[in-house]
Parts: sequence; C-alpha cells; structure tokens
Amino acid sequence: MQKFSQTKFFKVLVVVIFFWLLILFVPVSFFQPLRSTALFLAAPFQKVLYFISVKTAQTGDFVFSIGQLKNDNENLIRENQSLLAENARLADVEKENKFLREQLNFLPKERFEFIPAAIISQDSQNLGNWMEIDKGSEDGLAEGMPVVVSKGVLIGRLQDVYAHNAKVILLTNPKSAVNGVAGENGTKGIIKGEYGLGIMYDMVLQTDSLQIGDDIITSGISGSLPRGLYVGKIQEIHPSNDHLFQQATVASPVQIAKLQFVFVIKNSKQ
Amino acid sequence: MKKKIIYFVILISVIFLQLSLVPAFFDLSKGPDLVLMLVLAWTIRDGFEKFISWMILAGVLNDLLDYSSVGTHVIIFVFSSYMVSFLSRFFVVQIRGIGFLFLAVFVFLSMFFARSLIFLLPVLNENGNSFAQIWQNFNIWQGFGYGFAFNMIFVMISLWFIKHIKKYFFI
Repeated sequence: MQKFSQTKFFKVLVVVIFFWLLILFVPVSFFQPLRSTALFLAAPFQKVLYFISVKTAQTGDFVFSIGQLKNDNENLIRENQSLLAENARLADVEKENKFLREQLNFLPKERFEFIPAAIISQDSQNLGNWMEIDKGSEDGLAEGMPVVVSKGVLIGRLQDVYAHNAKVILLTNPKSAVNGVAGENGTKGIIKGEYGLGIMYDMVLQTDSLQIGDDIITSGISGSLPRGLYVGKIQEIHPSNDHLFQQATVASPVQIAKLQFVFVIKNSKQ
Repeated sequence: MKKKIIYFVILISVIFLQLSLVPAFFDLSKGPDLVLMLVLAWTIRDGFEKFISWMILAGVLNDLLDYSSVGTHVIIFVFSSYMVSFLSRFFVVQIRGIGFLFLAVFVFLSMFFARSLIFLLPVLNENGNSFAQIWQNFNIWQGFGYGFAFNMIFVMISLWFIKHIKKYFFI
C-alpha cells in the first residue's frame, strides 16, 4: 500500500500549507527585491504587448463603429449649430471660471511637475484595481503621488514604487479612499472604490446638498493629494445602509482599459 | 532541456498576455483566466505529478508580476489541478461528447475556487472586515458567466496547442 507521504494529496497539502503560511506570516516587503527584478525583466515585453493590445482593441472599436458614423455625422451637424451659440455664452463663463480657479485654487497646473509614464499592464483579474507604469523611484516617483490623465482627471495614486516600475492603485480599488468636495456648495465626502465596479462618493451628511450632475474634485484635506483634481460627475444618489449618510455613484470620464499614458504629479513647484 | 525551455516560454508568454492583453480587450471581471486555463490543460495532458513543479513556478511568477501576495496563485493552480487530476480518475475529459461536459465542470470549479480565494484572501488577512463586507464583494461575480465562456474557449485552444507542440517538438 502506498505511504501517505507519497500520495498526491500529501504533496498538495504540503504545498498549500507552505504557501498559505507564506501569505499569512511573511511580509510583502520580503519579496520586494525579487519582484523588482521580475518586473524589470518583464517590463519591455509587457510594454510592447500592452501597446499592441490597446491599438488592436482601438482598431476593433473603430471597425465596429463604422455603421454608426452616418448617424453620428448628422447629429454632429446639429450639435455644431447649437455649440456655436453655446461658445459665445462660454466665453463669458470662462472669465468667471478663471476668477473662481484663482479663488479656489483649482488644479493650478503651473504649480505641479508632471512626469509622463506609459502603462505596461493592468489588474489581471480585470477588476480595474490597479495598473503598472514604466516609471519608478529612479525617475523620482514615490508612494502616494497622484496619477492623472492629460486633462487633469485623477485616476489613482502610486502604491508600490520600484526602481523602474510602479503600481498605481486606482480610485475604483476598494482600498482607495480620497477626500473630496462636490458641487458649488463644496459638499464634503470620501471618494471610495467599489471592487472595480466604479467610484462611490460616501460619508456625505444627510443635511448637506448633493445633486445629480455635480462635479467631484479632491479637497486637499489631509494633504496627501492637492486640491482641485477632477474625479467625475455624480450619477445617482441614495442613502447609506444605516441611513446616517448620503452616498452617490460617480461616473469618471476616463476609460481606464483603453489608456496608454498617464501623468504622475511629482511635486509642487512652489 | 528543450522541453523546459519550450514550457517556460509558453508559460511566461501566457502570463504576459494575461497582464497586458486581457485588460485591453475585456470589460471588468469578464476576461478569461488564461494562466489558470493553461495550467488545467497542461494537467490534463501531462498529469498532475509531472507538472506540479511548473505549477509552482507559474504561480510564483504570476504573483510577482501581478503584485499579488506570493503564494496566492500557487495555491489556486495546485489545488485546481489536483481537483482535475482527482476527478479525471473517474471521468474522461475530452473536447467532444460527454467528456466536454466534464471539462466544463472542471473549468467552472477551478474558476469558482480561484475567484473565491482571490477575493476572500485580502478581506480575511488585512483588516478583520465584517461578514457584510465579504458579502458585498460578491457583486464581483457578475462577470463570471462571460469569464466562463471565454475560459472554455481558451482551455480548448490550450489543449489543442499543447498536443501539437508536444508532437512538433517531440517532447
């Protein structure tokens, strides 16, 4: 009869217990050098593959969208006419907006140093929890730095920074929590992730005003992120489970899966 | 040696595909688990014992490049493969006929185990989160059906691919 120690089940048991203990008791930092080396070696291949994948996906999207182009064109002509009128009105609003930015300190880009970075991989479970960029501590990046896309839309923060790579924890990650303000009244709340499914604006007092369509920006409270980084628009409002607070679903203007480049706000120039 | 090089190249390529290609093509949580399906296909073709060291390597590499806790994917791969290997004693897995049904069951069980572990591990390990929060995480299962369909396609491609690679390179 086969000894228990020679059975497949025993081997499985040994492997599972060994790695389970590794997960529970060995700190993540123990594997940092090994992970850093693996990421460094893999980065060139992943960068090329990610670039090809995104381009192919975009081409696919374009091919499928050809049928819609005719309708879109007609709609665009109508939209163009209304935009001409809107443009005249916005010129006036722009003056007001400029004044408000100075007052509220909204995304003063001239004060920040942006580091461009290419995305080389994303959450393999497709949950939109994280992405990997090709810049790291040797480029001056550090944990906690905000990551935005070209228009100053916040998408996440740096979490693990290696020599040549860094992991970005996205706003859709449930571990992400950022202080925010919404709408003209500056209603305060916490911008939280919902397991890759979206962004929630939470912990808003029942007495505070919150409207569908309100813009949400970072508040700058606690100092970890600058004030004025755009997050998204409120789509839906509902009370929290305990009915003590209001919660809102936030729609980000960024489609993370199709991004190729991001910008890390390195520091303030002031 | 030839076999080791070929296996390693296939393995690392599929890990890269999982990390760089899948997120670009598939919506949230609807993508296939390419590495897991490759491991399952390999277990069916090579047998559990011949492939166990490769499972550990695949798991460690996947965890390092995926920013997961080292060991998470090793447990998933080894346990899923053992389950397939154990059940294969009673059921014949094939790409046609009733064997196809068993293949679908193996893929389903492996996916279920993999997703459960990936989502429960951080919750159980980190902050002592409440059961309510664990339950809340279950909305992540909405992409399971799509994932299953894509995984079935990929596991069949993997079975076909491994068979022909072994034949072509005499390994």
